[in-house]
Amino acid sequence: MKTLQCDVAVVGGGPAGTFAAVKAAENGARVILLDKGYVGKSGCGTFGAGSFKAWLREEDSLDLWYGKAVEEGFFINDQDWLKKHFDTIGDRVKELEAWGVTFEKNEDGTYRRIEGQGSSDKRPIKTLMFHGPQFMEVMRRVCREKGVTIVDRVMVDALLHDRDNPRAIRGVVGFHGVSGEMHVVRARAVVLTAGAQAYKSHYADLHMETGDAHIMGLEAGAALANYEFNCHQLTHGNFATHGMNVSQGLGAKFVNALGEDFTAKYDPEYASHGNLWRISASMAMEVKFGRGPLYFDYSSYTPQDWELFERTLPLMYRSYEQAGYVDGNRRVIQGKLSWVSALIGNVGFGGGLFIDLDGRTTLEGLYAAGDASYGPTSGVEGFCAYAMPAASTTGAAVGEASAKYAATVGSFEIDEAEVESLTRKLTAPLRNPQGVDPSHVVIAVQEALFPYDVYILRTEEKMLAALKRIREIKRHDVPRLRALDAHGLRFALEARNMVLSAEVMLAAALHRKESRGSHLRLDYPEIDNENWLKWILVELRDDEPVLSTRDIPIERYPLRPEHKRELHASIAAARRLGEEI
Amino acid sequence: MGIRHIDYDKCTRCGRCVTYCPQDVLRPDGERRPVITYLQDCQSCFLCEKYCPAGAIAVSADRERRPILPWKI
Ligand SMILES: Cc1cc2nc3c(=O)[nH]c(=O)nc-3n(C[C@H](O)[C@H](O)[C@H](O)COP(=O)(O)OP(=O)(O)OC[C@H]3O[C@@H](n4cnc5c(N)ncnc54)[C@H](O)[C@@H]3O)c2cc1C
Ligand code: SF4
Ligand code: SF4
Repeated sequence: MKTLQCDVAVVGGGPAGTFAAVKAAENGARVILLDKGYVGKSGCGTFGAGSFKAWLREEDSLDLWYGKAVEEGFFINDQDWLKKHFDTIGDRVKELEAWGVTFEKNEDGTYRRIEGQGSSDKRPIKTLMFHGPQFMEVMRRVCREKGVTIVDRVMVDALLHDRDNPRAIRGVVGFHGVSGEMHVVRARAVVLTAGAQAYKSHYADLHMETGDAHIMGLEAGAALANYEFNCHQLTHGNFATHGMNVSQGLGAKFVNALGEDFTAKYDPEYASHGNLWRISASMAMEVKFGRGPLYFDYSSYTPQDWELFERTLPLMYRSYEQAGYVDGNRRVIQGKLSWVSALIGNVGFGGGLFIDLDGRTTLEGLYAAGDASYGPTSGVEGFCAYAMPAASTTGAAVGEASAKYAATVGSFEIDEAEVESLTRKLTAPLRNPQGVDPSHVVIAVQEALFPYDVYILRTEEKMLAALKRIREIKRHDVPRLRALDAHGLRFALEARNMVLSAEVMLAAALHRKESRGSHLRLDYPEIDNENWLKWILVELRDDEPVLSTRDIPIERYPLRPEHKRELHASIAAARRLGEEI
Repeated sequence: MGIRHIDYDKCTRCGRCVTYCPQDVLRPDGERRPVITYLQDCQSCFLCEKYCPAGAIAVSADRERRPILPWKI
């Protein structure tokens, strides 16, 4: 066993974790940053598609950005956090550039910005563009330069309490994914930045995100919030794709089984450029009304279009060529490609650890930021303040706050008996070589969660059935999960965390008896601002999730909803089309 | 089907793919050659292919396992 000591232990080295580590170090803390992959080559941040939606004081209207963030956040943002985000994002951009992160520039030195998903002619939201993995390469280097100790390939999956204060966290337990060596880190403060729960979904580059921070926080006594809200992605039915914006730019369209372009029917302002969950909802409606399956239609592509496509998205082009959709002369062979929605959990916004304005969770000494947090800036997909920019501002803030807090903590003791019991718990699958294959558990969770009537067009009946199945998996399969080696142990624990997240997600979604943004319930089709301007908090008691609500202090906030109740826009649109729903 | 080919004639045994793979799919053998050890966990993210200085790796976008989809296609 390896025992390490520091002031601030940061778990997970994406944009949030590297920012937290750097800021904690700048504030005088000795920092250890642990990652189950290799910092700078793991996590969603490494695969970011290049869009950085940062509000720039010099160029953008605050009213427009703030307004959109709250409108698309469906009023469940923490508007104090949102203000803090807008107050600090400009500094983060300047810092990133000073460290060497490249943002696209025009010849005159101004930022080159484009309109992406969620921008409309009426209300344009322009995004900065970064160069994919270069962002995280820089962040790794900066961590090193600031004296952060990086520990790669250590999966952390449990938190240690202060021996004399059961509501304070003083360290973490993990293991090396290759050697299997246990790692115990004693720390005055712990920052959880291990990203989202993405349910190993049918989408690109997010299989590392298995809610580890959420579940270890929950099990240590912290509260989760917003777990009923999920991000949806759109992708090819057979393999994970990206580059939808580019594809659409060249003329690809969403069509239903009848060949009709359907997105504008449900969302006149944004059509196929709306928030992802909106398009996902439109797709699910078409399937429900018998007009599925659905396609992304490349039939109009000329050889010149494919050539441009190949230049911008070489890997995607190769996949299409390998699948036989386009021939060697860049002619369309099969233009209509099966397209689906994919539940990707709380990547970019949605459920995670509840935090205050310092980034502190409901436990002393435990902080969270980025996708590990409940997304206070963005609420439901408030895309003007979410994903990588929000990971940067929340990460920097918790780095500073955790270092300042750590400086106030004197000598402390951890409980050796807790270290031993957590070590035994973490390594249990290794003592179970004949046990349940983690792949089975992953597939079983996905079978329960991924049907569209469980996560897109929700009803109590379907969610209860899914929850029953998840609880069966929790009872029978989770205790018998198997691992043959340290690699397998990681995947067994990830599968376990997926089950527990799934339970929390369904319990929270059943509890919220209204519709709001991506949480769309056919049995409660109205947005109910009278009763549901609340965060649902989830804590654990005797291994079971216990739910409570906390009022959003909307009266204090600059922006408040206009109506007490209103029909969810996707349902209203379907009814206007004459559908019975 | 994830990572599908490592061309050992081209591979210089630099170890980069092993270090970088976020899913710990690859492990070095006794001669420091990367081995596809845990294919089922490959997420087809193309990192290994992209960062291999020798151009020795080929990844396919298809994964090993059939995806679970929200509706029938
Ligand atoms: C394909 C893709 C494209 C995207 N494109 C964009 C985009 O263009 N713009 C944008 O703003 N957002 C984008 N996003 C979303 C964005 O990347 C995330 O919201 C953001 O990276 C979250 O940052 P984070 O630091 O919280 O988590 P992550 O970037 O996910 O980092 C989490 C880190 O924690 C580590 N970790 C996880 N569990 C453990 C554990 N148990 N122990 C130790 N370490 C652990 C992981 O290895 C990882 O390094 C994209 C997401 C995906 C999947
Ligand atoms: S494609 Fe990604 S997950 Fe698969 S082996 Fe390469 S780096 Fe690892
Ligand atoms: S990155 Fe390429 S050259 Fe280096 S070890 Fe891997 S396959 Fe060989």
